[in-house]
Amino acid sequence: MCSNKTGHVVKLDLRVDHDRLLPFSMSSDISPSLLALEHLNYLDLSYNDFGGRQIPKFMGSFKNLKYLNLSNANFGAWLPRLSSLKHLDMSYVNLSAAVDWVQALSMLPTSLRVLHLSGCSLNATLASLPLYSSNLTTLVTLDLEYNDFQGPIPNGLLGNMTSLKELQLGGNDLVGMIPKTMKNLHKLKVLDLGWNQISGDIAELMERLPHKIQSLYLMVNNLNGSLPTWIENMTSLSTLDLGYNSLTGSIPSGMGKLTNLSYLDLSSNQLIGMILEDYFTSLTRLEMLDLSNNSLTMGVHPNWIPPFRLKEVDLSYCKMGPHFPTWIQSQTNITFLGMSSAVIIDRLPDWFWNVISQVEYLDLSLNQISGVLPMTLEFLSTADSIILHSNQLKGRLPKLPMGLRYLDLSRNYISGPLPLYLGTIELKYLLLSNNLISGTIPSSLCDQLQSLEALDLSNNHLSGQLPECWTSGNSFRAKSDWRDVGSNLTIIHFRNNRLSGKFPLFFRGCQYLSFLDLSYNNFTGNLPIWIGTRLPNLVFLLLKSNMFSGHIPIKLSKLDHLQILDLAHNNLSGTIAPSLVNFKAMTLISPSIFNDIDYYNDFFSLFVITKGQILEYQSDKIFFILSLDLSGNSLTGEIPKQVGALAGLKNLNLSANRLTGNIPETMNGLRSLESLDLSNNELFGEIPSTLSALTFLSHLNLSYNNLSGRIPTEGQLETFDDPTIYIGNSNLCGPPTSKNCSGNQTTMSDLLEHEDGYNMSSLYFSMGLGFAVGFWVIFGTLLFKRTWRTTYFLLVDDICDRIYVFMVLKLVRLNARIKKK
Amino acid sequence: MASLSLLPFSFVLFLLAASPVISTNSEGEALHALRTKLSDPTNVLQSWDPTLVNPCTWFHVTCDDRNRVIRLDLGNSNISGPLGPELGRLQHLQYLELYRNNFEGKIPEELGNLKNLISMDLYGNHLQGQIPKSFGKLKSLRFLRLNNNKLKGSIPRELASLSNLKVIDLSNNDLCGTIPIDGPFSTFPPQSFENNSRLNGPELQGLVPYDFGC
Repeated sequence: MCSNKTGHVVKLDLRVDHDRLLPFSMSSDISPSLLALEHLNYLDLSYNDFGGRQIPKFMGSFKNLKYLNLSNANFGAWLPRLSSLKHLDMSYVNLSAAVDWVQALSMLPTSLRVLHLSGCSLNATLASLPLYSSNLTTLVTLDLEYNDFQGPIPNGLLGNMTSLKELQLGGNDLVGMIPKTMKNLHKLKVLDLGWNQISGDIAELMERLPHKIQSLYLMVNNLNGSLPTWIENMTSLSTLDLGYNSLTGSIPSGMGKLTNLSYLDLSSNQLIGMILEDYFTSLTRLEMLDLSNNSLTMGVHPNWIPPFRLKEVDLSYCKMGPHFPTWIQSQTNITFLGMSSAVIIDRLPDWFWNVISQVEYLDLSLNQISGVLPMTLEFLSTADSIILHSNQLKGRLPKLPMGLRYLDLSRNYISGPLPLYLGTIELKYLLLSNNLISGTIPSSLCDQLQSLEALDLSNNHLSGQLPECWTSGNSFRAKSDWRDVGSNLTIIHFRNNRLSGKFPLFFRGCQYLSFLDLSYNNFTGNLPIWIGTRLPNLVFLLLKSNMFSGHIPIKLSKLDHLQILDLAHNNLSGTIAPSLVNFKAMTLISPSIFNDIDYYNDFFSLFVITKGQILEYQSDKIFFILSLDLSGNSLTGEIPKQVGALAGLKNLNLSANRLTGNIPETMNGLRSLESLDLSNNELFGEIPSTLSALTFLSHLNLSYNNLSGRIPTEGQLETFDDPTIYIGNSNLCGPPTSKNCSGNQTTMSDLLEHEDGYNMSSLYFSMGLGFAVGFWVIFGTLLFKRTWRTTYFLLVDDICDRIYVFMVLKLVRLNARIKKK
Repeated sequence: MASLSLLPFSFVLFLLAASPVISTNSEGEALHALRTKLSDPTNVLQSWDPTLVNPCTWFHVTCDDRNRVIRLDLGNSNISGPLGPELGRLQHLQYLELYRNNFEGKIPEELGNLKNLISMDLYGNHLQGQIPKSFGKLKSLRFLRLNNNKLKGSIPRELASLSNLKVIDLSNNDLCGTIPIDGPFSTFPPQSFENNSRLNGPELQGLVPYDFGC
C-alpha cells in the first residue's frame, strides 16, 4: 500500500493467513533490498516461518516504522532499536535464546504504545524487568502473557505507566498480592492476571484496583476471602472472572447493580448461600454466567423473568431443583447450557428443546429428569455435545443433529431398537450404556465407524450378530476398505448384552483400539489370531462369560500394552503356552500408565473379579489394575514357569480348569500379586515355599487340587490362617489345617504346640515355686514365733534390712554384669 | 400414640441408613490420613484415592463383602514415616502387615482399638518407644510380631490376658524387665524374646519387681 501523497510504499502486509495456508517458509533470508522501502511505517510478517533464524540487523534501519508485527513468525532472537515504533507485536516468537532481551526492553523507544510479548518463553522475576525505569509513559497496552515470569508484582513496576489501559500478565508464575500502586493506573481498563499464583484476600485485591476497571481476569489463582459488598460500586465492571480460586462466603446481592456486567464467572470456589432475583436486577447485559462447582442454591421465583439473555450459562452443582427452572424459557440465545448435578427432579418441559435450538453444548447429566425424548433432535443444527447421562429419560434414541460429535445418554430408560440411520456423520462418542435398548445393531453403524472414537452400548438388551461392515449386501464398502472401518475407535464397550456370532470381524480395522469389553454376551467360535497383530494398542481385553472355544492364540502375547486379559468362563481348551504369558506391560512393576484412553465420564468402569470379590474400577483407576484371568475354561497342561515374569500382575486367576503339574517355584516373581486363585485344578506336589515372598498377597485359594506335603508358613503365607483355602487337597498337612505332618521337619509352631513348650512352662513353674517356698520358710517362721519376734524384734528388723540391702546390691551388680555382656 | 409406637422403628431405620456410610468413608479417610504422613518412594500407595466411595479398590487394602477394611498388606514396601493413630479407626481390621519397612516413631496406643485384629506384623522397622499397654485389648490377636525394631520398656503384663495369642516375636529389640509366665506366655519359646540385652528372664512373681532392670 502506498501513500496517497508521496507514492512511497508505507505499508507492507506479508501476514500468512493460517486458516488458509500452512505457514510457508520464506526460504531465504529477508532480503536487505527491503531497505529500499525507507518510508515503510507498517510491516506485518506474522505467521511466517523463518526457520528460527535471527531477526536480521538491517531491520533496525526502518526509521519510520510505527507498526511491526512479527507474532508467530518463527524468528529466533531479539530486535534492534526502531526509534519511531508505536506498535510492536512479537507474540510467540521464541526469545528464550536472546540473552540481551532485558537490556533491549529498556531501550525500547518512548514512542511505543502497544507491546505484545506473549508466549515468548521469557524467564525472569518481574522485579528484574527494566520497565519501571524506562520512559514507557505512553504505553497503553502491555502484554506479557504466557511467559515464565516469577515472583510478586513489584510496587514500582508500573509507576510511570500512567497511560496503561490494558495489562496482561496471565499465564505466568506470579505470586502474592498485587501492589497498592496499581490504584494509580487511573486509565487501566483491562487487568488479566489469570493462571498465576496470586494469593490473598479478594476484597483487599479489589481495593487496590483503579476505580474504572472494566475487565478483571483472576481465574485459576489462590485468592481467598469473600467478595466485598462494595463491589456494587464498581459499576464499570463488564467482565469479572474469578473462577478456580478459594473464595468463601456468599455472593453479595449488590452484584445485581453492576449494569455493565456481561461476563461473570465465579465457578469452582467455595461460595455458599442462596441466589435470589435481586442478584440479577440490573444485569441486563449479562451474556455469560458461570456459578458452577460451588455450594450455591438458586432461590428464584418460578415466574421470574430474568432481565438478561444469556448465551452461556453453567450452573452445574448449584441446587436448582426440584423443579426444572422455568426462567430458562426466556433464554432463547443459549449456546452453552450446563446444569449437571443440579438436584432437578422433574419432567423435561415441552418448551425446552425449542428454547435451546441454538445450543452447542448441553449438559443436564446427574439429575432426575424424566420425560420422553423427541423422535428427532435434528433441529439442534448447531449442537456439538449433548450430555444427558444419569437421568430418567424415556423414549427411543432420537435422530441426531448432523454435526453432533458427542452424545451421552447413559443411565437412562432409553428403549426400543437403535435407529437405522443415526443422522450424524461426525459422531465421535456414542455413549448409551445402562439403558433398555433392544434389537440388533444396524449395519448403518458402519458409516458411523468412520468417525467414532468411543462406542459404549454396555448393559442393554441388544442381540444378534454385529454387522460385517465391509461385506454388506449393497457392497457400499469394498473389501479393501476395511482398514478404514473403525480406524478411530479406541473404546468398544458391549458388556452385558445378548450379542452373538463370531468375534466381530470389523474389529480388524480398529488399529487404535485400546479398550474392548465383550463380556457377558453369547459370542462363539475361535479367538482370531489377528487380535494380537491387528489390535496392537489393546490395553484392556475383556471377553469373560461368552462361549468362545478353541485355543488361546499365542499371538496375544504380542499385545505389549495389555494390562487386563480376562478370558474367564468360556469354552477355551488347550494348554497355556509358555510364550503366551509374556505380556510386556504386565512385567513392569510400576505400569507405564498408558493414558491414551479418553474415558469419557466418571462412570466409565470395568469389573475385575479379584480377592474373591467383584471390584469395580472407575475412570482413571482402571489403569492401575493388571489382571490375568483364564478361570472357568478347560485348559490343560502345566502352569508355565514363565508366569513368574509378570512382576506387575495384581490378580492371577487360573481356577476351574484342568491344569496339572506343580505350582511353579518361579511364582515369587509375581511381586505385585494381591490375589492368587489356582483352585479346582489337578495340580500336585508341594506348595512352593517361594510363595511366602509375595508380600502383597491378600487372597489365596489353592483348594481342590491334589497338592501334598507341609503348607509353608513363613512370611506372608503365615497370614493365611483360613484352612478352607487348602481344602480338598487330602495330602496337605500342617497349620492351618488340622492334620499333623508326620515328617521329621519341625517348625516354630510345632515347638509351640508340642512337648518342648510344655517343658518350658513347667521349668518356669518350678523355679517360681522354689523361690516362693524358700522365701516363706525364712520369713514365715519369724512371722509366727511370737517370742522371737518380741525379743529379737530390733535384731530381726536389722537382719531384714541387711538381707534387703545385700540382695539389692547383689542384684545391681548382677545387672551390671549382664549389661557388660 | 401411633406416632410414638413408630419411633423405635424409625430409629432403627435411621441407624440402618446412617451406619454403612459412616463406616466406609471413615476408613478411607483414616487410611488417607495415614498416607499423607508417609514417604512412599516406590509408589505402592499410588492408587489410594480418597475421593472414591470406599477404599476397597485401593491396592494393598482388602475389604470384606460389606466394604469394611479387613487387611492392610504393605510388607517390604520401602515405606517410611510414622504409624498414624488413624490406624486405630479401622475397626474391622484383621491383618495389619507392615513388616520390613522403615516405619519409625512410637506404636500408637490407638492400635489397641483394633478389636478384630488377628495378626499384627510390624517386624523389621525402626519403631521406638514402648509396646502399648492397650494391646491387652486385642482379644482376637493370634500373631504378634514386633521383632527387629528399637522398642524399649517392659513387655506389658496385659499381653498375658490375650488368650488367643499363638505366636509372639519380640526378639531383637531393647526391651527390659522380665517376661510374663502365665496365659499364652507359658507356651512361647525363648527365641521369641532373644537379643533384648536388658530382658532378665522369666517373671519371678513376688520376689523381683516385674519391670526389674528397666
